Amino acid sequence: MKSRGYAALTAGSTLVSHEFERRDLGAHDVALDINTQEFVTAIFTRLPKNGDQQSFPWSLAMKSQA
Amino acid sequence: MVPGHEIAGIVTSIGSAVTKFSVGDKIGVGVFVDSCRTCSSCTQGLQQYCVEGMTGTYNGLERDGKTVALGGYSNNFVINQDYAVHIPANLPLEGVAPLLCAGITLYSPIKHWNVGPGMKVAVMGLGGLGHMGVKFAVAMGAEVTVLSHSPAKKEDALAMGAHHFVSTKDPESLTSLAKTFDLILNTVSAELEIGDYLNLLKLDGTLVVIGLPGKPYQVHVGTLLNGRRSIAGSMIGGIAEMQEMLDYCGEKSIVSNVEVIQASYINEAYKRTVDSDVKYRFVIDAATF
Repeated sequence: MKSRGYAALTAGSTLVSHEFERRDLGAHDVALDINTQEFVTAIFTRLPKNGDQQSFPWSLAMKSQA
Repeated sequence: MVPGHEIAGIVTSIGSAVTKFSVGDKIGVGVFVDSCRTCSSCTQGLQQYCVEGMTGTYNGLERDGKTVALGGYSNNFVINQDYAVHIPANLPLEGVAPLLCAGITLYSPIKHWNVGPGMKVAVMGLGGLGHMGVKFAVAMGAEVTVLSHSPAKKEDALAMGAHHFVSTKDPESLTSLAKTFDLILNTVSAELEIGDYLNLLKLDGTLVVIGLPGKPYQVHVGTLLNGRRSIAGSMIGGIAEMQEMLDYCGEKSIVSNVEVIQASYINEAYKRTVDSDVKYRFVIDAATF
């Protein structure tokens, strides 16, 4: 599915307009048109730098990247 | 990285095995989009505490261990039906989006600690999290006090239903509140002397940490012993509890206070949020992506 949004293309960069692909709709999936999207800096401002996962508040609860 | 969670929208299509949603339904997505589904937490509906780790809505790993989740800063989204929730028809989507993180982050501890009539609850900090704590605790019948470093927020706090507002700029302001509260919801991420606030708890009271300070707290154990006090933490909520919260919000007409922005304003909004210059959440109009 084609999507149009905003993304950070490199670490530390500002967000820019970006087009990308989402997964296709599976049997148990729902597709939605987004109307509103909360801007959450509680997470956004704490993205890990230099792989420092401990500074990322959700990292301890999220499935971690290898 | 495509960031973004707390997504509110309208279902446009469904998979062949979907039974929970229909095209045209209002739908919400929170902080996570999947979990292991089999651990002791998941089977209790507490997916946020998944033993294997929840799959974050953005920049988390899908269950295959390699696909990075793409978030909601976009015009559309795809999610497994089990990890999405229904939004009550009477609620505006822009006011609902923050409920899917800020809202549930406060609703969950308020329910867990059985907030209700006769209880005295303090909310530390009146920001995106704190203002939802005030609304929920007031709606559930508690006597609510806002403890804020910003005296200018008094008017807003009282308008949200808080019964009292105490400016913490003056350290002495807390002295008269010693042994007052059954529950304190700490949404402050700034560093502070936590013992000053533990002293405000009455017998068997609990201070729940929700904000994330940059440095560990220093706790004098005597402050806990004196009054059998507890300090605890809480993190968002599970899918069933999110649905319960949204149904409650629909019944009570509770939404978040928001400032709706265009997508082109995202980077400016980021700066303003870092400066605490928002009342009380920015919400992006996804039609502008």
